[in-house]
Amino acid sequence: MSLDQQTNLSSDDVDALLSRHETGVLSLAKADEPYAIPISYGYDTVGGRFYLRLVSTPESEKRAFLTSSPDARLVVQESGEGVYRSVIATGTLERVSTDDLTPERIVQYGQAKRPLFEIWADTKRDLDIQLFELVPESVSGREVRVDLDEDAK
Amino acid sequence: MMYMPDGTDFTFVCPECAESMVVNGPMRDALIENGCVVCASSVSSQSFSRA
Repeated sequence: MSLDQQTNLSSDDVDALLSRHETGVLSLAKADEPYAIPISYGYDTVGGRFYLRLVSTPESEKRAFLTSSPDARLVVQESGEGVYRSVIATGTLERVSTDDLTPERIVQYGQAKRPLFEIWADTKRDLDIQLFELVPESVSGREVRVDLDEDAK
Repeated sequence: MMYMPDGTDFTFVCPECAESMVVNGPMRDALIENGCVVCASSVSSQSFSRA
């Protein structure tokens, strides 16, 4: 595969990519132990924040990584017709208590998608769903273009 | 029904996930418009009672 062009995405392009997708891979770390999961998110282009609903159980591995505002990295990527784009957001994952809800936060969570919920066998009443916000300290995006015709020769 | 700014609080109980919380009028309107903040299920005015 020939690499034709590699560029950094502008902030507008980053916002656009994050807005047209609703899932990504969230990576957490505890000491030197990594943990990564596919998640659904909502993205606020004005505030630059991610809104997440995460489902876990007290005994789950996920819960162990969600304690005490862990450092987090979210990767969202897309590809098609020789173009590959990815955005990486790095920051702290903060739990949001229902005591801290505001009308504005309720609107943001209303825009957060939830396709991954559909694969859970338990009813929502039996799930432990927690609200989180990822406030990025840095967000970067990259686009790579390859010449598919060149590869076909 | 839109909220009248009289300081009334409401108790919200989600019919799907059973999440319960006390909300003010603007939050009640936001929940009806956007769904349960926890599980994203649709919410109607019947899910609220005066606190």
